[in-house]
Amino acid sequence: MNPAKPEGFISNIQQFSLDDGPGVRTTVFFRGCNLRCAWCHNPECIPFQAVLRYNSSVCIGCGLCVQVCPQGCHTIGGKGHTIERAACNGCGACTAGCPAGALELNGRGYTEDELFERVAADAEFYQSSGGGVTFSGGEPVLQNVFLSGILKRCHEAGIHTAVDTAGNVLWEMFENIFPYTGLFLYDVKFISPEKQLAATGVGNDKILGNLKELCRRGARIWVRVPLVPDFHNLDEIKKIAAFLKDLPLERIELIPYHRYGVGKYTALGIPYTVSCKEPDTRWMEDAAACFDGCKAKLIVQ
Amino acid sequence: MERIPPMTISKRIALLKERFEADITFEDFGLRPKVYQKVAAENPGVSADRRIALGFAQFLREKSVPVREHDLLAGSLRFYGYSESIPVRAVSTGAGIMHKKDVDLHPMFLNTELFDVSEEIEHYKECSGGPDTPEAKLLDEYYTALQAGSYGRWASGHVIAGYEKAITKGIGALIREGEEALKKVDDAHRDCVEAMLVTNRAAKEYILRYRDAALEAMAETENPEYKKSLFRIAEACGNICENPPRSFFEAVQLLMLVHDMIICESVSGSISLGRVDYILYPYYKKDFDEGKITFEEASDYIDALWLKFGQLMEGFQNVTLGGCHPDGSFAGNEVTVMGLRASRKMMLDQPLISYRCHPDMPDLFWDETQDLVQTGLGFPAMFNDEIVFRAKEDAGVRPEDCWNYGIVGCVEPSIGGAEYSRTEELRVNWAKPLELMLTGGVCACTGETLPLQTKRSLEDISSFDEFYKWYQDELEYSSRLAMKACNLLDTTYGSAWPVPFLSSTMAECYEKGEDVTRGGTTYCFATLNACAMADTVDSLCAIREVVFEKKLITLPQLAEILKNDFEGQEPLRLLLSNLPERFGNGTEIADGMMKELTDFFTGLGKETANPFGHHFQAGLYTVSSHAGMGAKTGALPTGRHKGVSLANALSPCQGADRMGPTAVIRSITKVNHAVCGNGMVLDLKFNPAFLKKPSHRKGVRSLIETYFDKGGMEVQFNVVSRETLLAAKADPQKYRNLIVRVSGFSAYFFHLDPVLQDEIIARTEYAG
Repeated sequence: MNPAKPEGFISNIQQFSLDDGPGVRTTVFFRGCNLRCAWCHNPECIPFQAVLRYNSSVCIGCGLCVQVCPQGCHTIGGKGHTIERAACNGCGACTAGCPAGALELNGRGYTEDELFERVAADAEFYQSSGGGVTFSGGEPVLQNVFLSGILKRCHEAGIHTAVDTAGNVLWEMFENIFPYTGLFLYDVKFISPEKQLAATGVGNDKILGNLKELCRRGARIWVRVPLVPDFHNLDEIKKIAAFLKDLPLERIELIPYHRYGVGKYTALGIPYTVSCKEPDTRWMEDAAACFDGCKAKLIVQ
Repeated sequence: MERIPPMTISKRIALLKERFEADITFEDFGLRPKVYQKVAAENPGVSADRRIALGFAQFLREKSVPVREHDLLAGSLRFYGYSESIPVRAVSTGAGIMHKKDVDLHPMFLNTELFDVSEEIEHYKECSGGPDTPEAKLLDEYYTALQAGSYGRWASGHVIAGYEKAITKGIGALIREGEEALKKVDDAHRDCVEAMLVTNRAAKEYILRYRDAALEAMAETENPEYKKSLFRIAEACGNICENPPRSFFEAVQLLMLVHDMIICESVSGSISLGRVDYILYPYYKKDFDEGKITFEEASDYIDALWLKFGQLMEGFQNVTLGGCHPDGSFAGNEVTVMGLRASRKMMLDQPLISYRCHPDMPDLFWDETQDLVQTGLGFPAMFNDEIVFRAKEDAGVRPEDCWNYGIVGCVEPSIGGAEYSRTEELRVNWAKPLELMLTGGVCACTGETLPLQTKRSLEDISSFDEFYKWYQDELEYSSRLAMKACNLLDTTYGSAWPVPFLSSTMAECYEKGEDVTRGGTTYCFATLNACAMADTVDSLCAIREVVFEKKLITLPQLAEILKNDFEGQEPLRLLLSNLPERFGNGTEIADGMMKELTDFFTGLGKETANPFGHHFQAGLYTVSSHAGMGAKTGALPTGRHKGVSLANALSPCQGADRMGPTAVIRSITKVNHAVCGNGMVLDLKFNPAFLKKPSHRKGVRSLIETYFDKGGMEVQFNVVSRETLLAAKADPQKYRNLIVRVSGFSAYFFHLDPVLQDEIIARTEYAG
């Protein structure tokens, strides 16, 4: 008898994604990440467990959540609606009772069948556009068994697959998904280990090593480089360019820092610490110039 | 096709654009009614055909023919006595021609208060046995329901005149056709043929008046460049008053003047141009090959033509571009590109652009259409030929006629110059029967008693299936009542307001000696349009779930809550509006019900004959009726408040589709579009910045292609304006589905930080 297949823990599924690989895609955001990038624009995906999102703009203050929450997390009073997040265990009782949809439990388990059905629903759109499915996150590679299962399933159904990864995992995890992954969207954030550690909480030996190994195995790769003025000076950008210069990559995408995740921090009740401004065109042009001579096609988002 | 140069705007066009408002003529205010009345008084006892033809001819003699010194083209447009209803009453009593409310309006201003069909009904009663016949009673019932928002009606205009025939053959050929017809015609049809002939002869004179006006303007100007173009107008008019055009310019000029006259004759609205690029291309090709014209010069004439169309604001003058040849091959050409670009350059609400997509069309045409979409004008509406052909064939159009369809008004496919279908004569509000079922037949807004086939006690309904069956019966009852009423009213037009000049351009009218209003041309369908489709399906799904499955409330309780417009029931209202089973999310129950109800509804039209040997062809689009009818519709089980707009066309309810555009397309293509001979609409919203990125444009293109592969007929893009974003910020619940392009990614506007929302609102002003 086969052991039961594990469930995948998914934050959300976005159909008609046009920025995570070629063509029309469905992006599946996996929960759980082992990096802690200060500028993360998907902070709801960092923890494995479900998190409560609260959207104050649609809340009607009806107080149903106060009545149904077994932990007593919700208070509606003089300060408006406040949530004692430390006491929340992610049971979701308040979200089921919230008529306005102001409370949403971000994240739940999906069986492989259920996820596949969602992804395959748009197969005709992938076909006509050269698109497919992208597994992103969070760090999707960490849910290794589930990911390799769903990748295999998509691969066999003729759906193009991409994995959006920060790369900070054991090589064996890549080994498991490699045969069914059509494209890697691979984040390279720093070359200097101390900078990587300071900004993301982890070193980069595995990240850079795995990238080289994927290249050696002939994987199709688009490297994505987020550029955050607080953390990236020209010196560091030059180091990144030098590292990537001769690798057999299909594309290098430079992604300028943006503040569009800020609203999510508010909804999740966690502080946002990055203080710098979004880089201007001039800054990005200087950064892009560092990549002159790279083999890969350079795209500035 | 020759290489297409980049888009430019000439100095002359820039000047014409700058002078656009100043050049709109304000002369002739109130002249048409006066002239028509004078002619009627001078010709007592003549037939309506003759009286209107003589009035038209005299009006063309007396009206102004403005030619400005800087004009590139002659001709001008304006609203003449705009009203929904035909001016039947005044005609029948012989007191004059014009309706008591049928006053001339300021050309920049459309007064919707004039919309009233009561005069038509009174006319019917006077001509057909008085106010006590069963038919008169039925019309009274219909009228009460119409006033209460059950139905919509607008029976004038809405045709693609025979521009192709008039241009390719010439005015002289029309006159000769009339003279020939007169030799053979029987007495019953003689007046009609003579009336058409009168209008054709008047057309010739009218064009010559423009020639003289151009010569006068030429004598007065000192500017040599102006002299040249005024001479070109004069020379052209001297030829096209009789003969077919000799050049591209002459063809454009004749198209403009024929349109000018068609508008002069009609109670205007949605008089559409058809396939302008297809008609004009042979003239361009010949001139270009002979070295007589450049792409840029020809573009100037098209730009000038678009500015002329722009004078008739809110005229719903649709221009169809793209499409195919008789053999099915792609017909797009240089003039197609000129037309798409003219809209981008002029940025006016007229003409409306419809684009017929073709599987073999070169990338250039995708680029040009998307450049236009990007402007946020909402053009072009993209059509899938294959499905339109099937829908028109299904309606009864001969297969060999389908290839040459154009679009009337908003989205109504029509065989140009051969179809007169009153495409807006009937719209049925699907939500009204549902409202009446729950109120016992009492209008939730006016308190009047409205037609309901069966009043039932809500307590006695034990299953959803029973309720659903009842709804279908009521929808059928409501639709049949209105179709009967329209058939009665259709018989009044021919005797009250024939359109001889329009008829003379249309296929078969001379041959049959019959006006289009009496079924003279090849295809004269009636119309069965729908409104509130998604609202109804979602309401039924909500009743199914909360009343019959979860039993959260009873049907009488729900009826009471709706009656009170959810007062004190905000949590329940929100719960209803956030139910997941709503049309547009690719879910089985809602999508399946939509398919079932649309099949049922379109079937009703197909089995109902009209007085002209055709039937009612279905249209699943709403123009702006979803707002108008919404204002007259009570609260619905979708959580929608009383008086709020209903869903736009076949699109999901505002904010109900939460799975993105691919899910909407999966839902909407469950409906059979190939039975909508009168068209349908899918409206997708994007932020203007979204379409700037090449990968996004490619994505949207394959979205359209897949939609068409799945049987979609039409799609249009609402590139979201600043106003919408402001509204979305004020009422996020309603705009949960609004996708905005943020930066390297796209997001639901609903999910963004308020500050960021402000930022995007500010940014949109510069985008697109």
